[in-house]
Amino acid sequence: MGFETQEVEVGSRTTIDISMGGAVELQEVIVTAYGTSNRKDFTGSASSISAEDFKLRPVTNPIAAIEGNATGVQFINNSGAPGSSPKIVIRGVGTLNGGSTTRANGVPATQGDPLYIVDGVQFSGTLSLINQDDIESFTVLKDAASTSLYGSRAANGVVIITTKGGRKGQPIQVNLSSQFGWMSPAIDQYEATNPQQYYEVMWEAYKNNLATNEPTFQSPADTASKIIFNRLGYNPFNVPNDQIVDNTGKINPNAQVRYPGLDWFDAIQRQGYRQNHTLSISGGGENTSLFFSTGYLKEEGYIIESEFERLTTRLRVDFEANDWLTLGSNVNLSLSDQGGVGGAGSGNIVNPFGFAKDIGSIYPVWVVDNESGNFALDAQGKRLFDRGEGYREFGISPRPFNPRRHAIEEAILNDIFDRENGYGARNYLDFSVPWVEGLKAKITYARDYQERTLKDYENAEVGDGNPNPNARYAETKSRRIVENFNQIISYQRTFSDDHNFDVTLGHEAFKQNFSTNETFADTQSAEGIFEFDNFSSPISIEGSTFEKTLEGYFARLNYNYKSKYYLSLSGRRDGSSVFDSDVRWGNFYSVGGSYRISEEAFMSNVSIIDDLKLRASYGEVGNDDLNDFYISQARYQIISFAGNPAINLSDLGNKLLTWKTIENFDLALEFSLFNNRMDGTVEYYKRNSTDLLYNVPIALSNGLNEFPDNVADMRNDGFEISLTGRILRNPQGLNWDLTALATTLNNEITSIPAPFQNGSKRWDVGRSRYDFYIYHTAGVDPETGDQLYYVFEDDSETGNSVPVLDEEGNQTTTNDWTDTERAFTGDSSIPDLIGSITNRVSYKGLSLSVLFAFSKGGKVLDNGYSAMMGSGELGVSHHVDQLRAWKKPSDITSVPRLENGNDEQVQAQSTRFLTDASWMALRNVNLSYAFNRNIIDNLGLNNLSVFVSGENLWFSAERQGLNPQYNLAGTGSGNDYNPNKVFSVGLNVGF
Amino acid sequence: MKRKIIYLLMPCLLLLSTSCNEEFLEQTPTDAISANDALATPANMRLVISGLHRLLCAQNGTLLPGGSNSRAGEHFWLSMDDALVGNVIHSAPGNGWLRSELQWNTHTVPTSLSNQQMWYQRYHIIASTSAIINQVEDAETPVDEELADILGQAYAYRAYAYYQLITHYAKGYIIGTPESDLGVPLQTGSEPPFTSGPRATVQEIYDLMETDIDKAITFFGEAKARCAGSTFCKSDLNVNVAHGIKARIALSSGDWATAVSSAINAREGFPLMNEVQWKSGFNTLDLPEVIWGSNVIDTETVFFTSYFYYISNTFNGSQNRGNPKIFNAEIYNRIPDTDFRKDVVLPLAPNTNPSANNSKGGSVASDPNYNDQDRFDFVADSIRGVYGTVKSFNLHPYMHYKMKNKKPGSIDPDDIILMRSAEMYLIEAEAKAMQNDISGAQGALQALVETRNSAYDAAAFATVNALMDEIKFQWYVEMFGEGFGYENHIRWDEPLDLTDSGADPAYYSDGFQQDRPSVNDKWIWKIPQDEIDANPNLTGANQN
Repeated sequence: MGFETQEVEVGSRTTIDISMGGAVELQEVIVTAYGTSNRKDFTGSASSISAEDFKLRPVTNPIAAIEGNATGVQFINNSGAPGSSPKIVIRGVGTLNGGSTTRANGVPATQGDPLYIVDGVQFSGTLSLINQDDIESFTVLKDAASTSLYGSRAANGVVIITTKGGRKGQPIQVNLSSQFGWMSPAIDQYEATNPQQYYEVMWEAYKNNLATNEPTFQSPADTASKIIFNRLGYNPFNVPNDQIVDNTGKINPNAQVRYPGLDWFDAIQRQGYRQNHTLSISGGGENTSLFFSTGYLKEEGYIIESEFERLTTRLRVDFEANDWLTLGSNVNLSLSDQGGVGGAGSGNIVNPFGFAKDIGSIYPVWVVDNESGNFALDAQGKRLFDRGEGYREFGISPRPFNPRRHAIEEAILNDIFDRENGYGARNYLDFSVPWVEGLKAKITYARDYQERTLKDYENAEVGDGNPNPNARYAETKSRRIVENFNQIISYQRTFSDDHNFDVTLGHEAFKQNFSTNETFADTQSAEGIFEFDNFSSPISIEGSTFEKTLEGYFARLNYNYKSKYYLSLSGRRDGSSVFDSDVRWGNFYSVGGSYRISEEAFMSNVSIIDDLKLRASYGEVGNDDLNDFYISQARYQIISFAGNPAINLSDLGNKLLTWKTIENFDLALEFSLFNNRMDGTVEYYKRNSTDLLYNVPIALSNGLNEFPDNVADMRNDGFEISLTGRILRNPQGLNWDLTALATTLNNEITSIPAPFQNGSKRWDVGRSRYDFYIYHTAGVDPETGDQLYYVFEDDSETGNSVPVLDEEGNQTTTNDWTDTERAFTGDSSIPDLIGSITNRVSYKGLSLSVLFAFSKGGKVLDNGYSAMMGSGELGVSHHVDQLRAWKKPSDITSVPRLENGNDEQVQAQSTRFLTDASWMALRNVNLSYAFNRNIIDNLGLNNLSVFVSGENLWFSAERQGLNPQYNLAGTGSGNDYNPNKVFSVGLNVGF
Repeated sequence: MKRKIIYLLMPCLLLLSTSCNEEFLEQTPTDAISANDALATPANMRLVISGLHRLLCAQNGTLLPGGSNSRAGEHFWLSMDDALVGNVIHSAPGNGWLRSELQWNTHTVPTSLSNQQMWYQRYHIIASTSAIINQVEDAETPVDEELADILGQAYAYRAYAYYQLITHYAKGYIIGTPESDLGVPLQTGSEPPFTSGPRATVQEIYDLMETDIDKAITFFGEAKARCAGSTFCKSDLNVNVAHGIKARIALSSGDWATAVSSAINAREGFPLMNEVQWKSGFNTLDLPEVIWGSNVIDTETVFFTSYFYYISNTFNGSQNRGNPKIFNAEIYNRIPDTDFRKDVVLPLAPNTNPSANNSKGGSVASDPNYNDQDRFDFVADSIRGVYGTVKSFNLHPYMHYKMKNKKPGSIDPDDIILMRSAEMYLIEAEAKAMQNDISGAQGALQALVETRNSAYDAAAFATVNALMDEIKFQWYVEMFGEGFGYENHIRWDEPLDLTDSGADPAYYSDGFQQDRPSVNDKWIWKIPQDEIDANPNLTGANQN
């Protein structure tokens, strides 16, 4: 085996081309746990992504580039806000708490996230602090053999990020990359009724209310026609107030919209814009190497007020002090400012997405002068935001929807700012002991700081800061310090030419300290000053510090015989401060082996096979993360009463709480065929999570609602297939590569003491973590228009509900959902298959890549849709499907009778709103051109390339407005900052 | 060779030197104290009691896992119990708070937040007080006057919490069959595996409440007196509060004699208010007749979720500005002119609100009480001037100014009165009337109402029926907005009928008319779905 040339510094790069004895062979080196490995010698499961794969993608968060480049990774795209991060889940959710943010004790939630290792040590914090141009490679580690050395932190998989470095003896090289992009929403909004349709729908809903609640009325229809305007308050049409809808529910045919400014989304959107520039310098002398980079990124989101600005600087130096000692440092600084709008994705009234989505289509954004039908103007000639409080001077009544509020105006007048600064250093000493061949030791000390200031100003004009207390202001300052100290000894030796050993021993100490201060005050003195001096009346001051420590010892042995048979053994022992002293230590291990069949003599005749490897691994990793550093301790929280000290029973604790373990099994076949024209991997994985950590919901009559415990077991399994075909290799230089990735996902709870209800899901043996357990709708009664529900009753034996049958054996129905129970629907939010297809075509300097991503199967409970399918709350928006509502006996429809004030008609947690979660997206299209040598040389450059690129150019889902990737549970509300569509152009220059 | 060994040892030594001891892995929180310490001393136990005082009037979202900021303890529950039965009437949709409650779309729904939070918050009191009670019992701690006070408060608090639960989540004691009617789970301690229990009978819960409140009274007898001089002192429970809770329990279960004696004991030392005090806005515990209440200070504000936000027409929130709360017009018209309480209701306030439910709001054109715009505007401005509000506050006929913010037109938090002497007079009068003690009942009524109406003569009500009609009327007029509406309806088995009250039938929907509680189980709150889901001893079949 050839790869012993230590001159090649592999610590920093992934892909190195090495010439060996004339024959050109690609030796892919991948970064692994506490080391590196040749791809062919690696016994674990890993996907690696190099800078080449993402350098042309205009993504602000580096992990977005994993999509389309790794199997087994699910993406959650819940926000397109500038500076926001997608979340990833590797090989299915192995935790019960996944993604949920329980009561935050100040420490940001991390459950379900993989472990991020940046340059050899754990990184905790916002990944968008890292400049993607500084990244040399990602490695996604998935199975036990590759992750178990990280022991207790590897339960959700590991992503290793390695930043760039310089090379010894390399002349100074300067690289400049610049990108400019334009952003717009990638997902359209739900289809709402237009003003005419809106009035018809509301007339129907109000008429039906009158018919039910005021049976003495002669004619509810006549009354509704007469006073529906009074109820809704606004008449945007050119017909009199009492003639908008006739007494048959039809809009006056002459009704034309004469009010301007009825589109609320239009009022919060703008042309988004981004730019990203990085300058890097690398090089090296005889005994030194160096890398320096600085980057600037600015995004102005497609929503008003949303922006992100980041300045990064990184410096890496390596010194070879003598023949046995190398030392170096990697120092980084990242300053970011994020501005945004409040409440996105929540039911909070200041959420401009929710406000714009939920408001009826007859209400203007700005005050309209009813007389003229034009916008009313103030003394300065400016439009006035319509706060819905009634403007008698302009003939405008109050609005039933959120009167005296205006989320768009509030978004403009409020000031929400998130300033996050990260700085850190990784310092290392590397000993290679010249007297003992192959013996090395490395000591690394790293400390990362992240300091964050969150400013939240609520204006004095409109909203919660108005008019008294005359604006309010909150500021949260937090600091996270993460320390890693590890010592590693490794020994690599080949005996008798055929026996290759590689032993690693290590120790690691980890400490995370998170402190936070939160201050809140009101009553401003001057406008535009967002500091406490400007606010005279303090409301609250809070602060505390949270600390978590972890210590681990580990060892690994890699052995191979003739590069044909491979064995890898790893073990780690970890202690965590989260658990009580009696149960805090856990042991984790793995065994992996691989067999390179293609190395066998009998394979040498099989010409179509270039490489064939069978590998398998098994092992256990763990997790201590339940979002609370002190979860095992029973606690009384410190509070106050009337300014006096007080405490309150807040956490039950559990001294017996201990490690969750995940058994990972992995079996894979890797192959390379037809003269390397096709290669791929077929892989089966199975992850059994046992003793899952969970805040078990307990009966509220215990006085608290949860108790942390190790409660259940769960299995995730599936297949991962990755195929790359080098389909075309044209002598003129036309190349076409096609890569297809597919992953199947299957999740099953294998043990649980009793079924748990968790929102719209219920956890029971044999069911998945995401199985819907909701009310079953049984259509609309054609005679009454009532929504019917299938009747279920609780079965005390299974704890689940069972159908109630009539004498003929048919399931009975009811029109009152409180008379039935929820039941399993047989659906889950987990897709059956996720994957991507990438085409790369290149001709000379020109290359085109097209990435499609897709997800097939699974359901979402479309809360964004059901919120627009209500029974007719005054002023609230309606989906166009409401036009199909039941109106008279014998109407056959799936939309029940509208009736303002009647809650029984619409149950959002019902099968009626289950929607296919499949989607497909044209994630990225990229066209680039690298200028040829002649031109470059004439210009005195090293390289020059330009590109145009589009992200999220096309998206298709079951219903317009739906974002099935919003969360894993399939319960998005459609009121968040939708992901971006980005069109960009860029330039790379090296000299 | 030596050098080689040194090189070899260096990393090994470094490795060893950083090996850590167990102390590295011991971490304790800075925002909490351990459960053991919390119950270790009477001084710490008092902190737990103070914590309950806070929970009674706090946004629970940051205090309880799974708590809610919008259901801010008594701020919400008092307002809700009067909204449910149209005691305090909403004149317009406003911004929607309490709408679902008054339309009877909340307590009838097991998954509703109000159902869940009321249950949870009450049981949190039960768990916290039980922890203290059990700790003292287990440790056999000698009871001194300090500990006696803590135990008195713990037992009284527990009885109070069960009283709130049983009067909402079960059929009324008097109108039901308490021996067999299902009540709520009987919990006197929370320990692993936290299964909780099945629904005990209503009688079993009453038995526990009665035992608890008697123990509370006994302990208070040995305890040092409640502090005095600061507003927050009245947030502590004392012997008077215990007697008051006992009176409520007795009244609700038809134990008339106990109700009478306890009510008299409870109000001892808390003289009735005079006219000036009564009209001062019910915004402070410093009023002489307040026996118990929640003291809410500025730095512990609950912002726009406070009692005054829901109830007071001088609170500067969109809840009130767009939805002035009105007094029942039919009852108003029965108040004699000599009764000063009539003064806090304005039957002729201009209807300035175009979105008023009665469709008569917005201008002089729609308001039948006025025919002159200048007059309309003048009256509106004068009312706002008198009560310290501004133009953005809408007005409505029959709006009330019983509750007024200490600082009108502000969002400053004000105290919540939880028990005062007037209620005790009403309990005494009702209990005596129910015992056919006509002169006794007249006497109690006379004592109370003559301080409100100088011309009052209780002797005019000479039969039990006439007396009960008068007592019900007085409950409404005196205790309007203080959260007694719902329980009174249950006890009196009185149907809900808001005809002629001023409430809009279309807006109130199901909350406009309901049959009497004895024949209509819609009055009983649904057990929260979260309880049924997590309690192995409860299923949907045990639902109300």
